[in-house]
Amino acid sequence: MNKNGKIISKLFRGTVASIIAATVAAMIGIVVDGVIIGRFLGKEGMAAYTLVMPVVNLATAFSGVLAAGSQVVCAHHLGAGRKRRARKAFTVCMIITVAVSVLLMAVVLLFRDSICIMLGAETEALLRGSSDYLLGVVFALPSVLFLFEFNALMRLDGDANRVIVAVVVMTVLDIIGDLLNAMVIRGGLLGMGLATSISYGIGLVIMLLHFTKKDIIFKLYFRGIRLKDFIEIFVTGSSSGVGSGSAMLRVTAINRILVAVSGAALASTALAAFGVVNTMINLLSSVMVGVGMTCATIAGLMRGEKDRSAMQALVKVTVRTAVVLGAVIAVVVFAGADLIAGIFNEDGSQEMVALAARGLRFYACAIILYGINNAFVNYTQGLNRMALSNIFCFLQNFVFVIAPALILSNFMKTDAVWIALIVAEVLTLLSIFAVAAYRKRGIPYRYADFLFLREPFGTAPENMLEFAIETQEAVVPASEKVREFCTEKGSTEKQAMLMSLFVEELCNNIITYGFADGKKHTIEMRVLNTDEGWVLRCRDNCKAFNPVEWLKLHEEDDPTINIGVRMICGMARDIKYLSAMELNNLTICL
Amino acid sequence: MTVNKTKDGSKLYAQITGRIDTVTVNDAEKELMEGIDSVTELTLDFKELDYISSAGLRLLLLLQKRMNKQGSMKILNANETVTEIFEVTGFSDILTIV
Repeated sequence: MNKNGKIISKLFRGTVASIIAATVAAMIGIVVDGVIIGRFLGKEGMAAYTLVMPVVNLATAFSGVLAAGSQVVCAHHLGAGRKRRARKAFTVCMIITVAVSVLLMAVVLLFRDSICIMLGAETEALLRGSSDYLLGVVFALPSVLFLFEFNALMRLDGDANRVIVAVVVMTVLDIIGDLLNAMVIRGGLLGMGLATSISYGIGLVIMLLHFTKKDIIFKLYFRGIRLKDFIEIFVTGSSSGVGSGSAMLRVTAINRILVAVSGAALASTALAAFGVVNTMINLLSSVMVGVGMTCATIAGLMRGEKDRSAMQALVKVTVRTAVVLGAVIAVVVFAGADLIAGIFNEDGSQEMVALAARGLRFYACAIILYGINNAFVNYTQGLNRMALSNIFCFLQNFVFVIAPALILSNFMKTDAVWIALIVAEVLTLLSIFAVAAYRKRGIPYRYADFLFLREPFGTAPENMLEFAIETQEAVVPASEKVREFCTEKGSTEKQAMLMSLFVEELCNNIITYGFADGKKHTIEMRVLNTDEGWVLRCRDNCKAFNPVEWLKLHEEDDPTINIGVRMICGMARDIKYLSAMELNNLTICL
Repeated sequence: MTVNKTKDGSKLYAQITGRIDTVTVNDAEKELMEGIDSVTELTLDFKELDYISSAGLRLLLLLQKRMNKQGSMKILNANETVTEIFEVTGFSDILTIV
């Protein structure tokens, strides 16, 4: 019998690739927007675009909170087998999103000029430009809000590919639309905004087609919605808001530090260099954001299932993935720092390029640690350890950056800011170690020491038997082992026989029908001796199959066929089935 | 799994001990089918049988269909759990359980 954890590792690797692709594609779209505007509409156009960004960032930040909150809450309920509550959480999220979309659009449309003046449009040209762009882009705001949320929820609902298609189509159309507007239509900033709105709208339509499918988890469910459901989403998603907020504070504080240490002559060079580094931080960190989002979603699911081994496998694969991806990005950024900085160099300022390249190289040294730390922030969010998640997030994004930057700036000038990026990640990691050491009352060195689970979590290890099956030959020995285990733990003969029988019948069915596609699959089982009785949990990564529903449809069939499913459904006290993230999850109670 | 057989003319009595599962079912089938052509009354004693899976039920079905053509088959001393399995699967209507 193999150990459990393979399914989670495989699920993580499969999901993270698509989440990163979607997140990076969206970021590329934003960056390309800025590049095209800068190239074709000049400094004035770029200034107007930059002025309006806080409005888009506000929508993105809000969407981040809703997306993080809904994905973790829904995943948790699904993991616990509570489909209706997951639907309720989804419905609450949709209500909030619609309300905020309408409100945001109304406010922007009605008070467009006032908003631009408030954001800093001091000249008539800047006011016209920013107001035009805002008018064009305001129709993209609902799409921005919904797309972030659907990115995570669709994966839970087994439709990950749709997200990638939608984001890629949206990004490509946005770039084409921007170029058409700049070179052919010449619609100025209004045209740029509308191109974004149209492309995001098409992306949203592609996502919405998911809800025309038959067997989906997330449908609207309005019954029994309470205020506490709204609060739960916001509280759970709060670390995303803390992250956005502290990142904004960080940028503001660093700008001030750079102006103070550079002096009047070099202030704009230092700020421009930091602008380059910050843009690259946003683009490259989207890779690690993808790792974090994947971790948070799966953590929520496994928290609902109370699966400690799965949590351990998740932490292990997340850290390894963050290290590998971080190392690749670090090498690329370090080696290509001059080239990257040069892309943003409009005025031929070699000084700015040199300073930005230096900053990028320092940032490259921090990326691996950033990935690990960000993963833990998201992991603790997935566990609903919100205080821990928010504290780590705020420390990482603000306190541990600004404090060293302030201290070091007295004698290291602009280098203080770059070094602070590394110091922040080191201090954050030490904080994580400190919390783990406090919980363990010793030195943490295994993955199990970093689980941060609220104890008691699930069934005690001595009352649980876990194993994985990948071949037909392993089935009967596993079935016999289950019988021995149940007998050892004081079960009746009947209970021991039935648990053993369920294992054999389930595995045989899954191998016969689920493994038939020729791909590699795994069945993971847990036999639990709980206070409520004996429980068998079975998870596999084959095509979706609900044995309970299947039997209902075939009740009138010849009783001499599909005997195994009939035996299980007939002898179990309760059976629950759930398909989430393309995994079959069956819970059988005796 | 062991099968102890006693033949008396055209009557065959077989006591099955242990488990009939996916692995042992082939041996059980081989033992029970051997010389069955001349049997008109087949009795299976499940007193020492402590586990039967769907593979075992399919074997019983095969034997029952065979014996329907040439005689009869009955099952003795099935324990409570095995009897319950026969009932929930509908096999208690197909087999003769004493």
